[in-house]
Amino acid sequence: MSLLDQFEQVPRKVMTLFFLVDKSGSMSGTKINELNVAVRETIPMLQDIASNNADAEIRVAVLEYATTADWMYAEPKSAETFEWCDIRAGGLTSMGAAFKSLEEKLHKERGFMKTASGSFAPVFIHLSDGDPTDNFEHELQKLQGNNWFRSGVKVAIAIGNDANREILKKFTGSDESVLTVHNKEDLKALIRFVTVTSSQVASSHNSSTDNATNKQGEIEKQVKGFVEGNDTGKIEIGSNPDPNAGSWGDEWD
Amino acid sequence: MMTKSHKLRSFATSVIGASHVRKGIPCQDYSLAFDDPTTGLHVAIVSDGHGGSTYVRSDRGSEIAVSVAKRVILAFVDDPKAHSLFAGRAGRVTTIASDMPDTLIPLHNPAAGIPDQEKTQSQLDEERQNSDYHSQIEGNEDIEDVMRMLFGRISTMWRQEISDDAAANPFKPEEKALLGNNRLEKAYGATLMAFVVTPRYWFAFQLGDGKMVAYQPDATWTEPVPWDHKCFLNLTTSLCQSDCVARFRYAYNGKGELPIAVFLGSDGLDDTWQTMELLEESYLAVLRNIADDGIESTKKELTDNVLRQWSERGSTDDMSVAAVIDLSATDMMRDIWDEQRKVKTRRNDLFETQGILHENTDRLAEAREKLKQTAEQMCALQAAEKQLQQEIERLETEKKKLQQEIEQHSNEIKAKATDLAARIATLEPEPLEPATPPADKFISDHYSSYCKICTRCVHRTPPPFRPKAESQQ
Repeated sequence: MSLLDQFEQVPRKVMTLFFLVDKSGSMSGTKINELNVAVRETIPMLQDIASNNADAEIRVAVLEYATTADWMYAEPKSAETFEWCDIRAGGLTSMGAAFKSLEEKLHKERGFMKTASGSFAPVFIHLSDGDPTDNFEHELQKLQGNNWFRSGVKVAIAIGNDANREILKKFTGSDESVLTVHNKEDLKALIRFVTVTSSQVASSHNSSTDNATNKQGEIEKQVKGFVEGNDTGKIEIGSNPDPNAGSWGDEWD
Repeated sequence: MMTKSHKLRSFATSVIGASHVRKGIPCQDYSLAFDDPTTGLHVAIVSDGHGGSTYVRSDRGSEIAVSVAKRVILAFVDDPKAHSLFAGRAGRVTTIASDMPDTLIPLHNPAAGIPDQEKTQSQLDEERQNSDYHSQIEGNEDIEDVMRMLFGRISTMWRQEISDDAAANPFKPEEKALLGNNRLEKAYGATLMAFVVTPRYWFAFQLGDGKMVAYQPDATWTEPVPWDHKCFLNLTTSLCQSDCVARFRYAYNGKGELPIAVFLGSDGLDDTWQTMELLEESYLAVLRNIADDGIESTKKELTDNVLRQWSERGSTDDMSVAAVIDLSATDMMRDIWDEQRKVKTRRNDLFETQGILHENTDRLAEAREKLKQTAEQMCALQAAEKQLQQEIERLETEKKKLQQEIEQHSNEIKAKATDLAARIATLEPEPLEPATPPADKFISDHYSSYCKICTRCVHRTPPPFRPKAESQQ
C-alpha cells in the first residue's frame, strides 16, 4: 500500500464571515430594507464561491444590534445552507454590547473559533448609520486584544452622513476600510461587492500572500477600484472626507 | 542514559509549496538532520522563512538559521559542562515572562494592574504564560541561563551571517522596494526548531510556529516544547524580532526518557491537517511505513509524492518534516501498530455498524410508532364495528317488530275483508232509479252524457261559460 493511501482525506480550511449590523431605530425604512435585500441577494453568490472552492469552507455569522446585541443563529452556518432572516430596525445603538458579544464568540475556549490551525483569518463587515449610545471604548479595546479579531480582515460601511466614521475607523484599524454610502443603490452595490470580494480573497491561497495584513490591503485595493469605477461616484473612502469636495447629501427616500 | 539498544536514526526533507510553484517563488523552508555514530549524537532542525512580501530573502534566512543552529548545537554538546547540566532532570520552559524585572531584553506587561474581567484575551494568555514560566524555571535557573545563552549565540550568529550575506549579495532594486525602510533582519525572517539527542540527554527548542510532536513508548503523543500564544494563524515569533532570545521555548530530559520518535514539521503541515489528531495520525502512518519499508524509502516517498500532494490539497505552503526515530522501538511497536490498525478497522466497522444500528433503531421506532397508530386505528375500527353491530341488532329487532305488526295488520285486514265480503254477500242490490235528466237546461244542452248515479256529468266539450242571463234567471 502506498504511503499516500494510508492517509485521511485533507480537510477543508474554514473562513468565517461575520456581519455586524446596526439595526437601531434610525435604520428604519429604506436603509434596513435595502440592507436586507442586498445581503439576501448576495448569499447565493457566497454559495457559489463556497461550492467552487475545494480548499475552503465559508461560514457566515450575523450579529445584529440595537438596544441589545443578538446573533441571527447560535453558530456560524455554512454558506451553502445559510438563509438570511430579514432584520427589523428599532431601538438604540448599543455598539459596545455588540463588541462585547463578538469578543465572547471569538474567545478561543468558549466561542465559535476553537482552533487556529487550518483556518483562514475571518472577515468582519460592520454596517452602521449612527453613533453608539453605550460605552463602547472599553469593549472595543477588549475586542482589539482578541487574536481572531486582530488577525481578521475588517471593513466598515457607514450608512449616511450621521454614521460615526471615526469609531468605524477604530474598528477596522484602517482608514481605507471605512466606506460611506448615501443612497440605497450604492448601499446595495457596496454590500454585494465587499462581501463577495472579501470572501474570495480571505478564503484563497492565491493572494499575493496568506498574511492577513496583506489580504486586508488587497481587499482595500479592490474596493478602491470599485469605488472609482462606480456610476454614482458618491461612495466615500476614509473617515475624513476631503472638505474641498464637500460631502454628499443623503438620499434615502 | 540512552542505552545501546536504542537504534536512533534521523531524516529531514523539505518540499516547495504548491502556491510557491504557481507564484514562481522559491521554497522558503529549510531542514537538516544528521547522525554521528561515534558520539551518539542525533539532530533534526527545521526553519521556515516568512512568506510576506517584505521577507525578500527568507529562503536564505531559513538556510542560515539551520546552519547556525547546527554549529551552535555541536559546540554546546561538545562542552563538558553540558554533560552534567541535564543529569537527572527533565522540564519544559516557555518564553521569558514579560513581567520579569531584569529580563535580557526588557518587555512590557500591558496587563499590569488591570482587573481580570477587564483584560483582553491576549492579556490573559500572556499572564498565563508568565505564570507558567516562573513555575517552570524554579529550581532550574542554571539550565535557564545556559539555554538563553545558547539562544543568544544563535541570534547573534544569525544576524552576523545575514549581514554578511547582504554585503556579499547587495539587495536588488526590486528587493529594496519591497523591504522599504524595514530593518535588514526583516528581509531574512524565519522560525527555527530543533531536537537534539545525545547518549546522556536530549533537549529541544522552538522559536515561532510549526509543530514538534513526540510519540511516546505508551503510544501517546505529546508536545515536548510549550506553545507561545503569540503564534496565531499567520502571526509568528521570529529570529528577525529584537526580543527573539526571550521568545525561544525549550524542553530537556536527562533521565533517560526517550520518545520513540520526535517529528518537527513546518506550519504548512499543521495548516493542512488542522487538528493535532489528524497531524498525529499522519505521522503515525509515516512511522508504520518506516517500520515496514525503512527510513530512506519513506523519506523518498514523502519528498517525491506525499508532501507535494498534501501541499496541493491542503495549505499549498512549503512543507518540511524532520525527525529522530528509535528504529528498535518501531520494530517492537510494529505488532502494536498492527493491532492498532486492526482495532481502528474494527472501530470503523463498529462505528459503521453503530450507524446502521442507529438507523435501524430509528426505523424500528418509526415502525413501532406506525404500529401503535395502526393499533389505535384498529381499536377505533373495532369499536365502530361493535357499535354498528349493536345498531344492526337493534334494527333487526325493529324489523322483526315491524314485521310482526305488519303481519298483525295484514291479518286484521284479511279478517275485515273476509267479514266485509261476507256482509256484501248477504246484501240485495238496490234497483237503480231511472235517470232524470238534469234540470239545468244549460247543462243538458252541453252535456252529451252524464253519470246516472251521481248526476255529475262528463263534459264532452267544456262549456265556455254559463251565460249570465240564463244563470240569473
